[in-house]
Amino acid sequence: MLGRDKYFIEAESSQRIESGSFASGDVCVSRRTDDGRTVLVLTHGRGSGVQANVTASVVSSMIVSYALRNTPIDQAARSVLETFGGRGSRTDASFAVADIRPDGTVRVAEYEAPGFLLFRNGIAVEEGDSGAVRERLVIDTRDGRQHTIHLSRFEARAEERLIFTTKGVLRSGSGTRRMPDGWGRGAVADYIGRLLNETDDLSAHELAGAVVDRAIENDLFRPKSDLTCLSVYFRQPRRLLLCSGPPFNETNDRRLAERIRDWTGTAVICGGTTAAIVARELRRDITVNLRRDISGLPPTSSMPGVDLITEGVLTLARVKSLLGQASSSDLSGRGTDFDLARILLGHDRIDFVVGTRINPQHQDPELPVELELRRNVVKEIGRLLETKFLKEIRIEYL
Amino acid sequence: MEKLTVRICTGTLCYVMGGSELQLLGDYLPTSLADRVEIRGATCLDFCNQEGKGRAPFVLVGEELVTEATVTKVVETIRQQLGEPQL
Repeated sequence: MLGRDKYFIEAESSQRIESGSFASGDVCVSRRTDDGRTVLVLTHGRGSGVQANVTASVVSSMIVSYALRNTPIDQAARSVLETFGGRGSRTDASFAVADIRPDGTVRVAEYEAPGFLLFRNGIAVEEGDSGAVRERLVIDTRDGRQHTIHLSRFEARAEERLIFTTKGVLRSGSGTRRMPDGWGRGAVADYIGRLLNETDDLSAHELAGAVVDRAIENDLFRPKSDLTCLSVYFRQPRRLLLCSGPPFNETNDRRLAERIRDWTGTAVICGGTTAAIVARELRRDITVNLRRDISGLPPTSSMPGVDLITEGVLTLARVKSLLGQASSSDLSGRGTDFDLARILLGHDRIDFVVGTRINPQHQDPELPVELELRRNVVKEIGRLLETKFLKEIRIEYL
Repeated sequence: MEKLTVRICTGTLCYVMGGSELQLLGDYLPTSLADRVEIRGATCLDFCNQEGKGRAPFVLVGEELVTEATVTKVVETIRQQLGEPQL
């Protein structure tokens, strides 16, 4: 069984709205629970446009609420189907739910969805070989209809990938000479297999984006339906250490420096004084890259063994608002703030070491700009990374 | 000939108090001075935390501390140190 420390669950989705429509009928929701579970829901509302979007949004939030309370899936599904009527009704919706436990147990429930794809070592695993326990759950609703939910349970292994798409992706390209019957499940699996063969550590985000991009291409760049791909990557965690602020007690300066020295992942320092302390303690040279940054923020510095050194509170405050505004982990801007935000989003487990010594001058009411308290900024960045981007965060005060 | 080292503090306080302009110091140095000066950035020089050192932004021209530094003030100090005539 895989332990919590063995891998990280990266879940990302990519979406494109049907050409001519302005609301997606596909809704993707991901949540990490307090007990470490990852709950993912991909819902497709019937048709497209606003009605489909509203149906899919409501169904998604119903399923997530049930899943977060550990309610069995049949109860959640029954409630959704009783409310929305299910297949054949005017407001039906198809959905796929994945509940991933920190020990690697994955439970999937699918209703009228195309069926997930599982990749092991870059190769699509056939249903019979996946080791998954599969069941069919039949639900009779009060309107006399019968609905079938497909349930699967399996133990995920490191480097595996779990992919969900909506039917629009499988149907993309239909009617064209190249693929009259649409892209199809087999061809989608082959395409993903080729992608993974080329780049085995492709991120979940890149993979989902590549699948949707290809579906758009299949539809000759005018998507005929909403296209969504949800991709999960059980991968080795990418670890980042971010140190900001001088320790409250100078006796801890050495400890701070040793955290940097002994760290094996990516290391970032935010704060000039902090960087100077580390340089002094480790007897390393520090150089300020004296140039104007497009962000208008103070310049970065370089030191051997540290991947990025920035100024402290101004830069962190800017990163905080970037993360708050970002709608996906795709940030394309330039400047120190974007660089730092991209580093944060490119890692799975982030350790913040926050020195709590305050520079009293920063509180001078006559300063032309208001300087936030480092602790609060870091706390908010951590909260955003944890809740919005599903990162694992640890904050240590020194 | 040994160059005169100018160290510009790029710490938070110096930066917000106008230090951001000082990064352009190199562009404003007359050619007669430019070859004789080495401009470096510094992570916080920590003068802001020391009582009686004056107000940010801080620049060190050789050993001399320039407080409330502006490009003009720093250029003047460089001139003095290098024995160039004042403008």
